[in-house]
This record gives sequence, structure tokens and C-alpha cells, in this order.
Amino acid sequence: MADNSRVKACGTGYDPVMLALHGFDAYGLEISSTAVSVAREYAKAQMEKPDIHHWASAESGKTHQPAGKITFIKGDFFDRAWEADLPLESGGFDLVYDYTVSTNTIFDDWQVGLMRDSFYVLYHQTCGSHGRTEWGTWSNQEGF
Amino acid sequence: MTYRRALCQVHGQSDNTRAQTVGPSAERLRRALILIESHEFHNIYLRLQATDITRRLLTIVHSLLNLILDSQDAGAGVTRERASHLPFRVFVSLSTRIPNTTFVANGRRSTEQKAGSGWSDLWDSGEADLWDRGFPSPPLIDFLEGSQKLLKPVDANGQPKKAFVPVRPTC
Repeated sequence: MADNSRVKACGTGYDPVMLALHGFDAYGLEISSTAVSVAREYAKAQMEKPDIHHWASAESGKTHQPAGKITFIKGDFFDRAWEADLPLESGGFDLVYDYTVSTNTIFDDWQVGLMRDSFYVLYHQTCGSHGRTEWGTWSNQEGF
Repeated sequence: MTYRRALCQVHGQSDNTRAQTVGPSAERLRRALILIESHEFHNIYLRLQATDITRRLLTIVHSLLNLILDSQDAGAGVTRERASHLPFRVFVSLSTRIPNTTFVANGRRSTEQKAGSGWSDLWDSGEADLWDRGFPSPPLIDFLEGSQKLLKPVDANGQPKKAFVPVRPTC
């Protein structure tokens, strides 16, 4: 077991916690059980007393949404067994943030079915006044 | 600009370099470097993630280092010798540091599994903080807070939407 005092939350922890603090129910998938343990500790502390770095500015931190829930799942992205632990029966995810796993081939047959290419955020958005929803993607490559 | 915010912004850009490393990217890296330079960063953490370890990637890293050094020479009056001692770090792909991982042209699946095991080993040995950026992704925060009309965290019934963040080393 790692000496957790040397290891911070690392990849799994920061972004799901930030998303939960912005009002989403956030799910993090991580292959390392040690990382999951550390992330859970980090999440517990941050949900009680979050750092300001979860918001773009001190001002936006003051007006944030009620926090959502946060769940960490141990699993290998390439082994679909972890899908059983996900809330897919209720419509799947509304937003996916990825910076490590996406490639063209991986997402071809993944459950969302609309993921292609490498990107950072895939999100479910409501369009127009009829409540129609569609997937949008966002990457800040443009202007890079 | 404070040191901390500068570091955040470098990380924000470094997240993006993953996409650039799989295509012709010298120009984009040059533009990134101009951005880095314009903010007078004191410390550069540039993490390059790639889906493959190729000569092309190594060439890009080499070019990037030269660009940093050249611009230091030209812009800040820093000599190449001094610049080489500046406290910047270039994190080449995660998978290059994973023990006992081999890279093969085919057999992707087995390579991925080795990388996953290596990633866990790093965590268990306390070395995973090499890739610890220390805070949430600044561009993701900017995106969420800048898109609130389009992207509300609750649905029409007021229930929280679900967000997913998979983390996995890639080869």
C-alpha cells in the first residue's frame, strides 16, 4: 500500500470532485485500487471544505450549485465489467470528460455510441424550446 | 499573474497536447510555446500524452525543447546554458515510465493490460504523483462555467445530471 501522505488525489479525484461541486452526480473510473482509496479520501475532505481551485474564480465559487454526489469505481476501462456498476439503466451519462482513454477505436463500440475521435467533453444538452436533446462535444483545441 | 495561475494555465494547455501529438503539430506546439512565453512562466510543467510512442513523438518533444530554449535565448536574454537549468519539466507519455511495459506494433490489447498493471504498480509504490497536476482541469472548469446556459447540471426535473471521468493510462 502506498504512503498516501505522499500521494495526492491524482487523476481520478480532482475532476470528478470539481464536477460534483458544480452540481453534477460525478462518477470516476480508475484501475488502481490505491488510487480509488486516495480519491475517496480526497473527495470526502473536499466535499466538506472545498478548495477554491475548483472554480474559475472566487466569485464563481460563491454562486455555485448545490453539490451532486460522487462515486468512484475501480475498473479497467478496457474490460467492460465495470459497466455493471454504472447508472446506465437510467439513461447513461450526460457528460463525459476524458483525457486519457479516448481513441477512435475504443469508442467505436462503446455504449454511448456517439463517441468518435479524441475530445475532452461530451455532453448532453437541451436545444430549443421543445426540450429536444442532443450530444455536443467540446474541445479547447481551437485557438490553441 | 501569480505563479499558481500560470501553472494552471500551462496545465490547461498541456492537457491539449495529447491531441496534437498524434498529428503534425509543430506549429501548434510553437503557438503553445508563444503562449507560455507571453505569460512569463517561472516553471513549466508540460505533460505530453500520446497513444503511441513513436519517433515522431520524440521528434516533437525534441523540437519543443529546442523551441523553448531558442525563445528563451531570443525573448528573455537567457542563454541556452542557463535555460537548460530552468525548472521546467517535460512529462513525456505516461506509459514511457511504466515499468515492464513494452510497446509493440500489434497486440494492442496485451499492451494496454500491461500499462494498466504498471499504472497500479506506480500507485502502490507511491510514484503516481509524478502525474499529479494538483488541481482540477482549468479548461474544464472554464468550459462548465462558461456554458451554463447550454449545460445545466440538473435536468428538467431538477435531478442532477451524471458526469463520467474515466482515467486510464494509454499506450
